[in-house]
Amino acid sequence: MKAWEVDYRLHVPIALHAQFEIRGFTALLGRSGAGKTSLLKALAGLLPAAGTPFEGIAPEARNIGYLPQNAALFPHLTVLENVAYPLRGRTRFAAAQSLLDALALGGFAQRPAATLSGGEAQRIALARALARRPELLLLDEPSAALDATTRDSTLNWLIDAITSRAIPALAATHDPAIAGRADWLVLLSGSRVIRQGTPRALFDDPQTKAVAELLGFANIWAESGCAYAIRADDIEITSSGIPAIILSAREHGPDLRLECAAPHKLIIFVKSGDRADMRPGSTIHLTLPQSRLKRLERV
Amino acid sequence: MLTGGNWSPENLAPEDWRAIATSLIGGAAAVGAIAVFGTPVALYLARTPGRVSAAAEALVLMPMLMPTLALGILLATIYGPAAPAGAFFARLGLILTNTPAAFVLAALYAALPTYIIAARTALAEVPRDFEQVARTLGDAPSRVFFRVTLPLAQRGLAGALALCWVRALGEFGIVLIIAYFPAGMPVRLWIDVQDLGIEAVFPLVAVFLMATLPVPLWLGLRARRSPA
Repeated sequence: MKAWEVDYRLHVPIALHAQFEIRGFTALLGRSGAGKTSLLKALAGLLPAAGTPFEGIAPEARNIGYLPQNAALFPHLTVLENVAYPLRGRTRFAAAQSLLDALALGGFAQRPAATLSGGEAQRIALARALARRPELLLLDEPSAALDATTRDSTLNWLIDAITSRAIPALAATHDPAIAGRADWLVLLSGSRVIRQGTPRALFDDPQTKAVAELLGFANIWAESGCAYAIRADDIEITSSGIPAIILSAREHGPDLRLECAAPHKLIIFVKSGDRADMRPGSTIHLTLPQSRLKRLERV
Repeated sequence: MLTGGNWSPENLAPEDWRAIATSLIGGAAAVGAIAVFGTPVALYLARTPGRVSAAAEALVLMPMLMPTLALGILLATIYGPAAPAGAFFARLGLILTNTPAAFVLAALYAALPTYIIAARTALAEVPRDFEQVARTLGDAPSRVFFRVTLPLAQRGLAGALALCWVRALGEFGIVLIIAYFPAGMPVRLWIDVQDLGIEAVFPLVAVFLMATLPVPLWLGLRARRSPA
């Protein structure tokens, strides 16, 4: 699979310099407003930018597939007409149908695009983008328009469909769960790329507070001259360990989310089980496994 | 009086038929020109923020905000045979007072601003995402306009054209000054009311209403039933 080297400078609507690689399914992780959407649009040619690749090439001449946040299926067309949109010639509907069939979406062909759910629309939008046989796919917040019940299945389907075709993809997201499934991770913060690497390498060694925050580490604190991070899921409640006073307890789906003082603030999730003692004011004992505790550079 | 009067088209005089033809043909020519030249202007106003487009919009709005009689007088001073613009067109063989071309010009000035303002709103409602995705799917901007923007804005644009048709046909102030001849329906009605009285013009009023009312009304109701 081809890897892409991106080096883009944007000025409008946000000043940004992003230099990174796209390897396989790549997640571009950053907070809202960090410029992820702008960077994707610039790569698609929809915003002015200087750099490689594609500089000076009109959007219609770039061989890319772009999926905006809301999928943007043409509402005046059927699913089949949407997928056939980028194709030319008399066989275009047959080609679109066989593409839909190959993706197990053939049954949607005659549906008006406006009647699809968020997850269905995302799948059809991917089919439409694939119809042009793009060299690179750009996905803007693929999970944003999905409801909780279909979110995971749709995302898994999208990622599987893309990786099985060996098309490099760049997915902008603020969702660490998508980041965890990527082949390559690019972190955008403060108008530049602060880190890139495999998810394993970044999760194992976030190095800085900014990276740990983007990767969803709930606990980041400074202690005797060092900074540490640990995920809420990785903290264990044990009989020995450091004492911690529960400050607040809140239902979090099937789990209980505790905020503790140990004495620095720690957030932990207690799986279903005995919660009798988990009341604010009571003391519990916490173990922070050394393998899960990440030491950060002081910033 | 409405039921007692004679509304039947059998009572139309030959000059009424000529007025109907003038209005329908001249109005259609004006609306056709407005659709072709006004739509790109509306698209520009809908898609371009900034001072230049604001100034352009003010320029477009001005004829709409002027009393039509005043506008007619201004046009007569611009396009009259003695005026520079009028003389220029006259050299090209286009006399712009009291000719069919003058009727079209009057209808243009009456209806163009209405169309541009309504069409701009219709085009601005088409989300940019659709056009941008169409670009990434291989279409140049002109193709995107015909394959995406136009179909998505068609109801609003049809409504804008219907409004523009009504304005073009109903215009009285401007035609009174620059296109009294050949008389369209409004001028014919004005003359007949003065010469023959109210009841004598019922047949022409019936045609006038039939030409202006039903299509816009239908388009308006359709847009209300199912917003595109």
